[in-house]
Amino acid sequence: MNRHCGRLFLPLLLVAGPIAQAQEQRPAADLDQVYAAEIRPLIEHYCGQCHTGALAEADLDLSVFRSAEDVRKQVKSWLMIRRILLNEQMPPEGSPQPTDMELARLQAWVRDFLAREAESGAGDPGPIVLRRLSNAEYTYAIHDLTGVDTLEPTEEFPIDGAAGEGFTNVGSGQGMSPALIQKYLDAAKGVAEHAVLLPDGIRFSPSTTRRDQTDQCLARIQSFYRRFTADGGGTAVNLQGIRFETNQGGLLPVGEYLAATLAHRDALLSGRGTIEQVAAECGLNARYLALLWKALTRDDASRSILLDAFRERWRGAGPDDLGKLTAEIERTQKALWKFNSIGQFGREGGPTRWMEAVAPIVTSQELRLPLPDVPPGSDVVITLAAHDLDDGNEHDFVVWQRPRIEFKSDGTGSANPPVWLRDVRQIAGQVDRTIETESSARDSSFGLAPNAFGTHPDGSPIAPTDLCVRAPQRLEIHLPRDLAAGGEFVATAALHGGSGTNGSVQLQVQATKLDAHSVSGALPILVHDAPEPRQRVEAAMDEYRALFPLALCYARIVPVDEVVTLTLYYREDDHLKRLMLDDAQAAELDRLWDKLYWISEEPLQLVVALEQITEFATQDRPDLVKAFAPLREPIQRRAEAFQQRLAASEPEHVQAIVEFAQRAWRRPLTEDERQGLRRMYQRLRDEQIPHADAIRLTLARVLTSPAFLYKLEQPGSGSESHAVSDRELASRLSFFLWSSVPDDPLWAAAESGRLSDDAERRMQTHRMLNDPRARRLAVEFACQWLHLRGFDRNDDKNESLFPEFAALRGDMYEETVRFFEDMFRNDGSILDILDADHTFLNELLARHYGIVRVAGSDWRRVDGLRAEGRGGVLGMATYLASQSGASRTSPILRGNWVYETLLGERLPRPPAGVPQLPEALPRGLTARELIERHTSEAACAKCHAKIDPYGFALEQYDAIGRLVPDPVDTKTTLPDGRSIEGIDGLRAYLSTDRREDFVRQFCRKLLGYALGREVQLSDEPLLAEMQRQLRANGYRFRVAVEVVVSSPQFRNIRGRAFGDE
Amino acid sequence: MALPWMESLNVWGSSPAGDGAASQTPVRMAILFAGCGFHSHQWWARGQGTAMELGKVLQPLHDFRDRMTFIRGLFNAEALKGNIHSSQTGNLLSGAPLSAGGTIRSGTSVDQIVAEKIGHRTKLPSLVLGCEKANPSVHKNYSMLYSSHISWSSPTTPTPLEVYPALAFDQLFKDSVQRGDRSVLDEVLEDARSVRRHISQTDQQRLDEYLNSVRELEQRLDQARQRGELQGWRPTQTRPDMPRPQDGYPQDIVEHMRLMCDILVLAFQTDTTRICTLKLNNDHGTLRFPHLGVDYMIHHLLSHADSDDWLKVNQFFLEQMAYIARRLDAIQEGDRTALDNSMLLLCSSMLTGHHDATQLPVVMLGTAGGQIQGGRSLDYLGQSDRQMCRLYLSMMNKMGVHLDRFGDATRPLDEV
Repeated sequence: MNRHCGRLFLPLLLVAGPIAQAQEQRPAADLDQVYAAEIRPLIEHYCGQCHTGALAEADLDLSVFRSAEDVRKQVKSWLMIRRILLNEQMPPEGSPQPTDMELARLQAWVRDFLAREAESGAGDPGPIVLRRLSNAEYTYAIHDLTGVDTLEPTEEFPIDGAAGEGFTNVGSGQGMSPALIQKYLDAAKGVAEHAVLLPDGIRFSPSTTRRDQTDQCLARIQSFYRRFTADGGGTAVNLQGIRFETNQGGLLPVGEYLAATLAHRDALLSGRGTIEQVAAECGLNARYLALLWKALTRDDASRSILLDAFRERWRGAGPDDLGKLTAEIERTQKALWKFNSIGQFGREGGPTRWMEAVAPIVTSQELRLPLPDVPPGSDVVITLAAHDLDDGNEHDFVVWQRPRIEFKSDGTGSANPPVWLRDVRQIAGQVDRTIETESSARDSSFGLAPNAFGTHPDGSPIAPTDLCVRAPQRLEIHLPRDLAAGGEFVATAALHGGSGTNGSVQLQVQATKLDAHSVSGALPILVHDAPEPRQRVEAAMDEYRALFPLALCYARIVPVDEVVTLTLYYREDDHLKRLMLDDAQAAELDRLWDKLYWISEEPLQLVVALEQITEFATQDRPDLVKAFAPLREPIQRRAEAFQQRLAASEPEHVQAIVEFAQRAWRRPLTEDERQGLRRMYQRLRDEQIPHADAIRLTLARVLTSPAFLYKLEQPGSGSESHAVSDRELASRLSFFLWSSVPDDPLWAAAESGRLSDDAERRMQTHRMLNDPRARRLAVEFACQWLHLRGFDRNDDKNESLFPEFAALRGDMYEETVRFFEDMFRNDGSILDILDADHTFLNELLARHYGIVRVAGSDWRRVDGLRAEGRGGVLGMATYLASQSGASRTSPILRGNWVYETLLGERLPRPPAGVPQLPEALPRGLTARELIERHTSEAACAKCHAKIDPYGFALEQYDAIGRLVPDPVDTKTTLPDGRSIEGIDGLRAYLSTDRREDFVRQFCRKLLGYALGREVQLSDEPLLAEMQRQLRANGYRFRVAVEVVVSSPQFRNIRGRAFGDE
Repeated sequence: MALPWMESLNVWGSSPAGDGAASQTPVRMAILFAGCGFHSHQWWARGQGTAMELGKVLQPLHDFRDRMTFIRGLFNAEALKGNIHSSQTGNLLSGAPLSAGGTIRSGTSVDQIVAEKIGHRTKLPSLVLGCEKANPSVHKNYSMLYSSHISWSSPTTPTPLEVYPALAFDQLFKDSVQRGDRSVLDEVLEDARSVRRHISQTDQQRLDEYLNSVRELEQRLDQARQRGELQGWRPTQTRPDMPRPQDGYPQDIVEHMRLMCDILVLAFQTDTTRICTLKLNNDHGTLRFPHLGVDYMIHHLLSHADSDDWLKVNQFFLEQMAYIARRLDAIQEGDRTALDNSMLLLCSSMLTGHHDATQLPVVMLGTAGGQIQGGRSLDYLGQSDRQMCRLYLSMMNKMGVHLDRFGDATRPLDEV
């Protein structure tokens, strides 16, 4: 720890230097003598009459200042005297007035004397009343400590008081009471409720119940799955009246991958592009894309019936064929997979996987086709197709056994006998002749030639009504309409026992024309009833399935396909892991699952679930109890193991609290404190309080401690100021810039002692201002300074006049916050506060402003605003509305805000018994006219002339900041005699003529906020330096921050014995 | 649960030594505050007893004229120094000088002085309620903390007001001490003690507020555990006769005030506390009153003119007082009602909306258990010793707290 106060005053010399030179310094003794000799008599003469004794006006007794030493003791009064003298506010009209010479002498003396006093005390850290965390700081600190930024623990706290320079981070405004302690205790316990106890420590969750936390784990796994899979594909289920979709999600988005292979085929084939590039460009998984690419481009013909065929079609396909290719895969997938119900996995004889492989292989196949009705005069046409599966057709001899037309019974029990296909041609001739149709000309085209039956293509005999063909073969067969009427085509098929033993075909019978033969996964594959052919086809299917699983994972996780379920969370994602995940991703997924089991306490819940399902089943199916019996022991063992794991994690949680306390208390814990936390936890356990509750209470204890609630700092001994420790400096920095506790990098810088180093501190300052947390500075400093904080809850407007206001106020506030956040994070010029040409808008607010070129609800920076009557705070609805009445504008409020808040001037308080203002707007009178009438009273005119003109310039804006469509008189004469018009005139005036007044006010507020106290006389050299640096550096915001955080005021603390001597 | 009166008598043995008042029907003190004054022509009362005539603002109190003390002309000299809202409220109940600028300093308010002396007799030493959230800013060089707080536990600590009805209700009735709370408080108290050694003297004073607050909360928890074992006077009711209000901040001001009034009545009826302040709004406040059709202007701006709407709003505030009085009057405690046994004071920071604090509007209902004669209109305007703090000395006397001086006063009002 560095406590070398002498060195820390070095920067101060730099700070003080220019000021010291700027002032003509007279020796101290000299000024003291001048007071006694010249000043005091003047004051007695001109002021003494009113400002003497116990009943002195304004509580200011000037007779006590007998010597310069007396002045020095009550220097605060003289700050006011200085202002009043410079503004020539006193003596009042009608009283004897000093001559110009006398006034100049008074002014000069007070100025010089105070400047010298300021110099001699420069750098004094000042009296800082012990600060506790403001409500905002408490909330932000909780957000940062827990990582959960939805917590609002101070929602029901009493509102903080403002003090110092008007901010809520000042100790004197922060009371404490038993009721507040109770609220702190309750809030801390509330926060602790969000603690999630994990195997390796404590995290915080946005929710408090195990159920919600479990849901979050589920959501995290599901969103992990969703990164790789496609939604949809659900099937409707109706379980005892409850309808829902099941099995949806987790699908392989095969179309997207195929599309990429088609679109980038040439580039990939030619080597111009890589799989990684294509995957990145298309947002696909590179690993799977590579697998797919390899499978599609493999040229060592694999003799894999399904894939080979697909590969061929892919090679010939163009981008337009994507739909067809995708549809084909999806059809095949559906034939090769099926889904099981998960709910009762583990039951004896039940399924073991959700998505199970199906092998649609048959050795004999019955094919049926009801024959359609066709218009009279046309024929029924059916096609008998045998596909060879593109794997060669050497052995693909298939026998259509006994192909025939069958007829249903007519209800009397007797049916027409079947007609053999072989006989169709012959019967067709008779039918035609009988019915005398005109189709006799082509009677030979019906059916097939009878000699096609009963003979193998090689000439050997087969059964007389059978038909043997070699695939690929398509037979288009015409049947007479009358013969086919009401009939059904039926055949059984098998491979030919001799020549077809090693064949494999797919068969189809359809009443439409069939395309060229194509392998379809949707059709069973016919093989000979022997091991070898079956295995060959099965291997092909396996290969296909491995590349194209229908689903990659069970994305629902929670099965809903049984009314009572024994599986609470079902994991099946091996395809995903195998095809897409690298090691790190797989490990992440495992972690997510472990967390889910842990948080849901699934192993323990399962014991309960088994109980329930057993009882449930017993009601009507006692036999099922036995089915579940084998599960009992493994579930019990798993629960016991989990209990042990829980117990083993307990010390981790206690240790996590110690680490949490260190961050919350912004300092390392003493050994005593560490032990104290452990002891408390143990005591609670000894009182039979369960582990989780004991941990939460101990956490609550950390957050109720003064070490968390107060910004405790250790002063040095003696009366000298000392540098605060690096850790304390880190806290000062983080509470200044973030309204919260230090983060790890800042903490590390402090721990290593680097923070006293100028370059490091500067680097940290910039890093912190770059951070999104700098938004808090926009809210807590900028908005609070400008009285705009909390505008989103402004409830001052007349709802019947401004019904739109309630919906707009949040956006209005957001604009202001974003404007400052942008300034701070991007180091903008503070002069932008007055004359920016940009702001941040969404469509709703832009429309309110009459700006039409912003569409959509997104926030964006909009430039060129001055031309549209906006830009800078003066054109913001927050200011214009908050400084208006409920129903109309108030030039007085707006003007006073410019005068006091922006320019830092101070108006005397209104005299007692101000004449009443006719608030009910008289007919035909504008707010301006009303006020001008009112302020024509002499007693009021003096002050109102100082503030109202600023407000008059803004009368073009209504009480919620809209531009009034009709022209309004916004010409006005300012107190210094300048004539201006409208917002442009006011903006120009403020940012040029009054620039330095504004900058000084800004510096004063920033310093007051950073230090958490009122700015005092000895800060004036620092304020002057801030102004000088801003001037020299384009008024960049961070210049001012850097001067502040380098100042002794910011880095030092008064000694313990300050003021004792 | 309401108990028949006879059962409510002192049945649990003798009162503790030195606490003679313990077994008698206690006197209660409630101070209601309305910011920004009242209509300048309609705040008056003339005549005595039931012949008393009332200005329109006071009409809602018509039924209680026999127990009314209307007082004209009292003022708070310190408030005149700042002469603006923010400087006229923070010391209304103490008469103390206020620090301007960025520092906060007032004086301990009369309710907290009484609470300190006799608050140990009830579960809560005092109840500090409000119907408008505080304003976190500095106005005209005075912190708005002053505008937002009439009750001060110490010169530097405004007592936080409870503005959430549900939490106020919990203060009264949430007795179940959570397991482990006491442990947490013990530990943090120890933290504060050990930290205290290493910090500056001024910081120590600030930390002592924390220490004392924790200690007091611990005592309360302990008392809550012993609830029902306290000796002395037994109230007519021990349990709430209203449901716990909904969580959250009421959006409707009528409902908000009504709930807070009910809680005040319930606190007195159950003898959970005998001292309550209820700040109906902030001085320089922003309430609007849609239910009165006065939606076009916030309370503070409305106060600047003597309009009909201003009168309506004034009467609405007085109706709150009348409501409390009516409810207290319906509670029979022996041969008196709870209203008879109370002092229900309503005051403001200024007489009228234009910051005129040269005299304050003051009206009181109740007779402090027969100690005050009602049906009177008193006028101190023009007298030299017309300090508001004299009234507080009088009221403290009725509560059994006797001070030689308070604020800028050294003697009570002879007539009260």
